[in-house]
Amino acid sequence: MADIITIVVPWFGPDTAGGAETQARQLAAALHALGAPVEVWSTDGRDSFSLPVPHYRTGADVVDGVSVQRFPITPPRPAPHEPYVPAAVQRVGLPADWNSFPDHERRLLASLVSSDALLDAIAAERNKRRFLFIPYPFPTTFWGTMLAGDRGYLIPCLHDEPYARYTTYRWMFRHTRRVLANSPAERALALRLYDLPPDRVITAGEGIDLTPRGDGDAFRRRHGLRGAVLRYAGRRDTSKNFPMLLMYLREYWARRGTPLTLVLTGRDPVEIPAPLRPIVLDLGDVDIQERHDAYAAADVFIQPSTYESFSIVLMESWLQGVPALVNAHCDVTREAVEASGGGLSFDGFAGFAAALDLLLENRALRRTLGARGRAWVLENCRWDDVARRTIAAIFEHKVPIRTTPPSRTLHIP
Amino acid sequence: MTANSHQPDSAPEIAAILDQLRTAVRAQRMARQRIIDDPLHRALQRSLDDIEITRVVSAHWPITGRTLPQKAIALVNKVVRRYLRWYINPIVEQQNAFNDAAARTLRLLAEAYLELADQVADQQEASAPMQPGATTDADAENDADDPAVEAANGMQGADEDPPEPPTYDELMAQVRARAATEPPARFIELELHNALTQTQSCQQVSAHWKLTGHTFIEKLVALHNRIVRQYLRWLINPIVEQQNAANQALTSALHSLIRIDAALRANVAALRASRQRIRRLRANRYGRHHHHCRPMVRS
Repeated sequence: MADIITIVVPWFGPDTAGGAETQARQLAAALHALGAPVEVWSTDGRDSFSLPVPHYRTGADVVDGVSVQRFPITPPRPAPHEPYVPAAVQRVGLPADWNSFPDHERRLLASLVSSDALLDAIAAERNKRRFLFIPYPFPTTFWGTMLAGDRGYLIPCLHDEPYARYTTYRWMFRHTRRVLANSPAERALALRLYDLPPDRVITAGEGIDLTPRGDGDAFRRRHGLRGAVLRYAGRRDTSKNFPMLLMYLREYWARRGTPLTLVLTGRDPVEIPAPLRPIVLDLGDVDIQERHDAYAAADVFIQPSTYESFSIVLMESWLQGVPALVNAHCDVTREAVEASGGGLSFDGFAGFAAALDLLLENRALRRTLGARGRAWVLENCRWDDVARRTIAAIFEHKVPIRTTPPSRTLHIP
Repeated sequence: MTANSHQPDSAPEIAAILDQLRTAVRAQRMARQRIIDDPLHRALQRSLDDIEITRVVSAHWPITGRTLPQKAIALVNKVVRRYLRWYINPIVEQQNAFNDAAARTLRLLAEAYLELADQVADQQEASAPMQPGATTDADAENDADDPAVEAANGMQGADEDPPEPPTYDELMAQVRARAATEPPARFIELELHNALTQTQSCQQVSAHWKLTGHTFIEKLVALHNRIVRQYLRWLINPIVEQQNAANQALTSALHSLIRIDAALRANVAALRASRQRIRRLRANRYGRHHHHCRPMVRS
């Protein structure tokens, strides 16, 4: 019997939010749809936006037809996060480098959600499975890759952030059998940061559900929107440069006086100063159709973040034919815009304002760029292709070329 | 949008524009000078200077004595201080890191206050009745394609795709050319946000870091230090806890001030936007009656 591909992710469930978690869910469904043996192992917590307490029932479950095994969550160590080594690791012996890792790096691991029981299971089932860990910073991944040894594969969702330079993670990348990158820029970053042999890092890519169709007109009517509609989706915090977007937009609005609305969706709370409320519509956590309607209603989708390995929200907005404005300092999104021709990039406020002017004053241009983005997504973000490349990377086959036409694209929930 | 491609009809118009600009610059300078000369601002500046002078705590002040017994006591004190420096110095260094971060945040807040006062002064200046200025091609183009105007005129989807859509590189060249004409903007809140994050990360001073060693001697020293620290906690811990409470309160106050600053900036932005909007509407109305003579778009 073939090894079971076991996706290990800190949180997994139908109402789990987050980019890596969404990727894990859709990848699992795509692998399952191709007939690959796949299971998901996770904690019983909900997601990174929620408290580190049990949310789902521990034990076996099925999500999107995929078998899921949930283990009791091990909450973060309380501050000051004394370094912690799980029992499963103590049994097999600590890596020789452990004591050489800086104290604050070991404390970071202790400050994050894990599951000792899940790590015990990895140690016990090591020879029956190939483990696919996602994303890179969590103890389930750090300790899991160590326990899995040459059966450990990593989908890091790597960003060019300070943590990526920690010696703990450098060690982990160098001791993982293969790294599966979501984009060429992420692969380049991994090779650059960890000095890995090129064949150890494969660009398997990432997909999105290509079936949703948003109704922009209905959305505009529903929310009484007039003038330019701009769209941001995702975490509304500093790590995604959301405060910068709000400041840039405030200044743009003050300088131009153009009627505009920034439509936001996302689960995390955000504080919008009262005078900005006329130009910011925060819908919070919305259902899938509303999310896609909001994309379709937009004149421009803005992605200010530099911490991206793929950017699902960028691809989702392109799917609805909306041009994008991305941060030029993010290699991942800038390269996607360059490759697709589906938008523009900005480097500072002057570029932001100029690009927005260019896009908002020319509807035909917006339509052209949006169509380019959509075509690129339909060509490059097919889950069945990603699943094939993932299987090939794990079982070290030749990476297959696409065999199915776009019309037969899988529906991934 | 703004553009620098003004095409005035005549020399008197240029003179009028230049005159307007000179008046605006003079008013801005005077407003800033008024703020700087303001007694409240001067008091703030003195307080910031005092913070700069006093923010660094030292555990190494001179210990001296004049008489022989004083010198003997000073020597003992120096030995004790040297003996305890492994314990005291890290605590003082942590507090200094916090003081440094908090002082930086306060300086930035003071700068933000000045900059905001400038913006308010600009708006007061701008509230003077506007003179008709030059028309720009860009203004006309922008108004025609303004989505609000599009929507109001029922023009949704009325335009046609260009025969050969420009490439990404061509479009980015246009963006760069336009960006070069955009007046600069400083987002001091981003600096404030970073400074506050740094302050928050330093606010908790710890007297309980790990004491350990690699060699046998180091381990022995670490064990000894742990025993001494355990004994001295009655003395040190209450001091650290009180200081931490003060650090936390100060950080919280800084956070509140930054939120107030953000709300005030949003207010000014709303005011600027509404003025800009009125100018555009006037410009459109004026433009319909006088094709090439609309108010200049200010940024």
